[in-house]
Amino acid sequence: MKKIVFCVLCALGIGEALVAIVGTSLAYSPYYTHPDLTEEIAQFFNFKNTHSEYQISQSQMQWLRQGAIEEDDPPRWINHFYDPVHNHAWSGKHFGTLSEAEGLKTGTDFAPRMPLAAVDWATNQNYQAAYGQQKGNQTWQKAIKSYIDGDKKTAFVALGHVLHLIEDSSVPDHTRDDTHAGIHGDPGSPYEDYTKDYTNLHKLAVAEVLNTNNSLPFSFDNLAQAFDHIAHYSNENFFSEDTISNDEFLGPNLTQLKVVHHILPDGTFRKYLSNDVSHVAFIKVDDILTGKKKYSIDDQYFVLPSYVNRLFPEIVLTGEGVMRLFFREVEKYKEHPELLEPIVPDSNQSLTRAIKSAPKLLAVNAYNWYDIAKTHSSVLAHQASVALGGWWGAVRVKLGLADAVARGGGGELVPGVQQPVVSNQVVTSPALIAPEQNKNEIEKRSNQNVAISKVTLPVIQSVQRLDNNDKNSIQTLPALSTEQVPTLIKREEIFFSTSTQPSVQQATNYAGGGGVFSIPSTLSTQQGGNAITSTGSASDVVTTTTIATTTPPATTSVLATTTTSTSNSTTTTLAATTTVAVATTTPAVTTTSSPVISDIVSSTLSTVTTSTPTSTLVVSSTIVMATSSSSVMSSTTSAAVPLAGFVPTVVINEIAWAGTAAEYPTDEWFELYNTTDQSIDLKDWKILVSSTTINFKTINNTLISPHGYFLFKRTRDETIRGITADIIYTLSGGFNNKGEKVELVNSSGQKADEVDCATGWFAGDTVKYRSMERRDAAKRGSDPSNWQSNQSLRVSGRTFNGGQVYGSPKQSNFGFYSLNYTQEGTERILTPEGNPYILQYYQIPAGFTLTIEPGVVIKSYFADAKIDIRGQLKVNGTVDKRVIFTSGRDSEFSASDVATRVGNWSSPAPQPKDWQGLQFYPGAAGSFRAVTLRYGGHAFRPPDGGGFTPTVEQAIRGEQADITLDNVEFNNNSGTSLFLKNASSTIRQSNFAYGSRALEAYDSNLLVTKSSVSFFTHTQGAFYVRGRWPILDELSLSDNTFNPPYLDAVTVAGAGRIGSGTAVYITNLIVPAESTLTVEPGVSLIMAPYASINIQGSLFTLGTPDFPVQIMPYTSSEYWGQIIFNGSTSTLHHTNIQGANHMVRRLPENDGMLLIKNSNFSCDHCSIVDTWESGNNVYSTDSMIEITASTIGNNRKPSFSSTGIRVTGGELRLNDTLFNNLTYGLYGASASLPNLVVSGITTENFINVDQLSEPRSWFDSWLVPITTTTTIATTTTSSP
Amino acid sequence: MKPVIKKIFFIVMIPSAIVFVLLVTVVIKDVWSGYKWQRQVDNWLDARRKPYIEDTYGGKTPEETWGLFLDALKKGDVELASKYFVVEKQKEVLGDLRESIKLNRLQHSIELFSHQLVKEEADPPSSIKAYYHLPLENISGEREAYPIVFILNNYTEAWKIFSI
Repeated sequence: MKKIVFCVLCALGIGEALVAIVGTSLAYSPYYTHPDLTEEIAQFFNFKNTHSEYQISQSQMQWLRQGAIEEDDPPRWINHFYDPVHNHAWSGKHFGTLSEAEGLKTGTDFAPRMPLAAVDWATNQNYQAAYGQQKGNQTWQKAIKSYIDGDKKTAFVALGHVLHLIEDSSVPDHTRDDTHAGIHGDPGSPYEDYTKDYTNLHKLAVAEVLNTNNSLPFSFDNLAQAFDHIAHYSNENFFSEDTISNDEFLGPNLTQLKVVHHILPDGTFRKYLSNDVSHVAFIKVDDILTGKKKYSIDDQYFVLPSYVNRLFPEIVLTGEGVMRLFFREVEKYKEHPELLEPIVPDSNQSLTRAIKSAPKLLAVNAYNWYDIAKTHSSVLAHQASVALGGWWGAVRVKLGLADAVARGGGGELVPGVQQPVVSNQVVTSPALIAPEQNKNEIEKRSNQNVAISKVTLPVIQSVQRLDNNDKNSIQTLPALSTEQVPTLIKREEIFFSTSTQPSVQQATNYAGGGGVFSIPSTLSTQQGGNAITSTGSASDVVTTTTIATTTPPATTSVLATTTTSTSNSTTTTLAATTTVAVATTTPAVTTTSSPVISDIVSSTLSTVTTSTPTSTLVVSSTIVMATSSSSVMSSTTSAAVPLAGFVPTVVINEIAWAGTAAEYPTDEWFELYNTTDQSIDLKDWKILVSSTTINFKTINNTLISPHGYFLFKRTRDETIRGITADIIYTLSGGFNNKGEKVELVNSSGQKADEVDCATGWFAGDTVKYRSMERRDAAKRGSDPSNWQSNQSLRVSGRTFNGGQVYGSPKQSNFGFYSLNYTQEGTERILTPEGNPYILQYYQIPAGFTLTIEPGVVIKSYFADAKIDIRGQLKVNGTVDKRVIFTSGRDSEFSASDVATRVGNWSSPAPQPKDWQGLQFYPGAAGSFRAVTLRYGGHAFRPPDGGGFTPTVEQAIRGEQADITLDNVEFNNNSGTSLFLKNASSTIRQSNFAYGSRALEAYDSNLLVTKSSVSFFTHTQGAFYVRGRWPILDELSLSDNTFNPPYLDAVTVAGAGRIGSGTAVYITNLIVPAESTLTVEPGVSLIMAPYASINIQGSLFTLGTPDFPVQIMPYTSSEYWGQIIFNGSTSTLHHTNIQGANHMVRRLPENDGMLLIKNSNFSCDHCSIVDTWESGNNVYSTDSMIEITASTIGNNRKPSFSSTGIRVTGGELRLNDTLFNNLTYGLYGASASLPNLVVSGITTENFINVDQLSEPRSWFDSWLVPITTTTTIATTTTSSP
Repeated sequence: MKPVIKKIFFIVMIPSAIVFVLLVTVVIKDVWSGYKWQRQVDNWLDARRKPYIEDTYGGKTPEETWGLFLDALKKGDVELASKYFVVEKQKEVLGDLRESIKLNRLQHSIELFSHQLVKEEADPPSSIKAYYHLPLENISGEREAYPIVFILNNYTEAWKIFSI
């Protein structure tokens, strides 16, 4: 009997074992992760509700844990899935090689009901009650009712079940309908495996961190809202291993994810998909065996830690909201108990039926044999002891189903895990570690056999954007250069200059008669002289006026100084009483002209003492020269004497004494800099802060490379994200914000450097939390003038929560300034000191101005790096110091080490589209002078476009903005170099080269002068203008696919002009009334097929005999439309008009190369030839026309009828004009013949013209040569 | 025995005895079912465990397993090579290996696989998996980390290849 009972109990035990086996891997670990997360939720609830009567006690915490564990009793787990997008439960999909139906059958064969979505399962009493033998009804309602009834244990156990469901609704596998069974070819859930390992080994501290960060909890109106929140968060932002695609779910959107490279410790890289906040998957390289590309989330460096780091806090925040909702509902139902559903009792399945179900559970978990066989054997014991008490645990051990070793609780210490160094650019950032303030608490816990946990969350440092067209194009940030050791101050050179020549008064009066007198040829400055007559009479002695200049002479020779070595200390700061004796040599005196200046009378030399530590002493001397009447002193000359005493090796280079942000005042850090050419091992070096030695908590590295940096972070590595600390230190109280004395002591005990800020920090602040940066490593650290507040953000380095760090951790204090985020001050000036600037995404708001000084270099390492301008951008280069906007790969304008980092791109050579460009928004203004802009033009969607707007490539885009360019070079930008829309732009002396288009202007005021455009490929013009007529002057286009500027449907506004020699291509031109277009000599108007020019204002062409104006088709076979003069006053000089009258629809009333209506028109020395098909060269209606010395007709006689001038009404004056190859020379409308004034025209003016005029009689009088001007009255004749 | 007592005995005891016998029968039946079920379970468990217990292919370390895998590939024995993978993936991998032969990629694959395995450390270390990668040069000349994951067969203490 005992044996039978024993066997029965064994069977039960095995069933329980199977429960444990199955439960282990079907969700978060039921034994660690789930209960631990549940405890975190409760703890956070306690933090946030400190005055609540509902504070969770320790025993209640254990009940919650129990419920969280028990919810995974199979087959309850089939109800733990919730796809919030399609709103359904687990379907059996993604079950390895099984079909969906097979998978579902496998999982539900033993279950009493088909699966429910977790959101429904949590409140469906009937369903849960059907699981009578697997804990039965543990619904939300039961929890509330039990609590109201005073049965707190039952209530909290049930609540624990519900919280388990909330936790599972954060697992991407559960919200993306991924079975993750781990058998039948299913890869399982790397995320769950990771969290299992994580919580197996570490104690969570999520609640503490959230509380420290003052994270706001969520508030839910009902339980379903909580499920939806967490499930959507999980579904939309994360992948499961089998659902890394957008086939079923839109998020995360693979097309919007960036591909990021991370360098692993061995220098290889791995590509990740990232959404700016975290890594969501990694790209497996093409499968070696089959060549297929795969994605995976099974990455322990970035992806899985990213997931944990985001999901765990979200779970705790959501769970806390659920708990508060629970207690609100308790209150509500206390007042209205009639509203609460009756509790459905559990249905009791027979014991044997339940046991029989057990084997089928195993079908979904064979994978975990590895797991359970060894690793989780302790789990089985734990489960056994929990489920059936200690006796049963012993039985299981006897059966070989469990080891005797248990985890935790029993006194076993789990050691903390050493943080591995992934790469120099990767930081492990423990979102879950307790903050400094709770250090003691953590240590206490450590003593209680738990370890502090850390989660790796690297910050994206190198960002790669996929080029839309080139999937292999990648770029990463360069390594930052080492700080250049500054050169010593040069000694000044001092010069002498001479005085002016003394003036000598010449005797002009002499006694006696005239004569010759002589004057000594030279006179010394102190000598006088007199004139002596030939008879020897002497004048009075004349003394010279003083020759001494009133201008102090400057000395020419170098003031040489030496130091006496004995008075200098080589390693320590000079004491206050130390004097430095400086010997000088007397400078030589030179003169450039007479008279000779006397020797230096005296010189004085200052003796300098100092009581302030300094790296240099200024020595000065004064030289006095004798002159005739006064001593004139030279100006004081001085030279800086570098003291040999300060020999920098490793110096304190930067101190972030205020922390990194208001939220993180204790996130202090500092760095050292190695000034030498050798690596230095800092092992056994010490840092003293006001005589207190800081404690090195974690030493990742002790070697500081030549001219390299060494970073110390206080307490944790997440102090600065994105950059690994060399040493993590602890310092009680940290840096005092009022100042400290910081000393660096080498391994021999000698002081290597000192920064004495005991009376106050030299720089840095607690407003922006800027660090204090050393300006010159060669100068002493205690010299206040040797420090500055951080000048600019850098690309790398973020605060704990991803904010900006106003410092330059582990990089030069100069240069590599980041241009990112929105400009902070209304005025900002970029100087070459910040070179090269690293452009990311910089915004200049309205009312703000960014000024860029000569010599600034701005480089972009991101495909969509750009500047958005809503205010003003002033780029003030000079001819010698241009301002450069270029690609990060452009080694022409950068430090050499930057160039070497471009190896991570697919090719080291810069290319168009390496970055985006500059975008001017309405109301913005930009002025560019001496600027080079190249390799831009990465595609982007215009701001006014919607989701379906095609992308464009524009290096500079200006919309309703004012942009002037002066001496600007555009080179190798993709797409259009300059795009304007409703903008104003003046372009002078600028060159555009390479790309699709140089310029594209729509409805913009444009003036272009002395500029060139070459090597552009667009078939419709390298220079495209639509809308408003531009002013083009000396615009040269060459070597473009389509050379002439393309003026598409342009209208002249006001006084338009086109400069001499310019050729433009016109599709349509309008000169409205009140406007004028002046065409200068040599201009070619190249007309598009069917193109027309419509003049309602005035057209003046100023051709000359040598430089006529041409109006012609683009090719000889593509005739264009016509020029219409309507109500216009126009004059054409030396203008050749050819190949027109080819309209889309030509009617008799608009038939004419020149169609002149109600206008005053005159032309001289023009040709109007070659009309399309049968038509008129000129058709005038009611206009005053005068044509002088011109040619009208065709180059060859056409087969069709053609008329030179058809006239209706008005007046026609013809002077010395030739008609050739026509059917009719003149054609008058018989009903309204114009007045005709003719001179210099005979029959000889009509060459190959069939009929001189129509009507014939109109010109009968012309059959006789007319030598005088005859006016023929208008007569009315009948039509022929 | 007095008739009243005898009557009570029959009225009370016999039904009670019948109920008792029924209960015992049910219990025995259940227990017997349980015993039989237990044997079924054992057999079922043994059947599931068996491939893993018998799967002795693999080395004591992931590197050793990898070396054995490579040796098999170099000999052209793809069946043997597939055995160094976890049991449930062996069939799929064998298919891939055969496909790589068809695609003429096997030799090139061997060259790539012959690169030095680099172990990846992480916190927390996985309880069942070991992550490695091969530093391979991609078509752009960059050194990319090709992931290889191993898993420990706790029955045999042999490391198996989980994914490549």
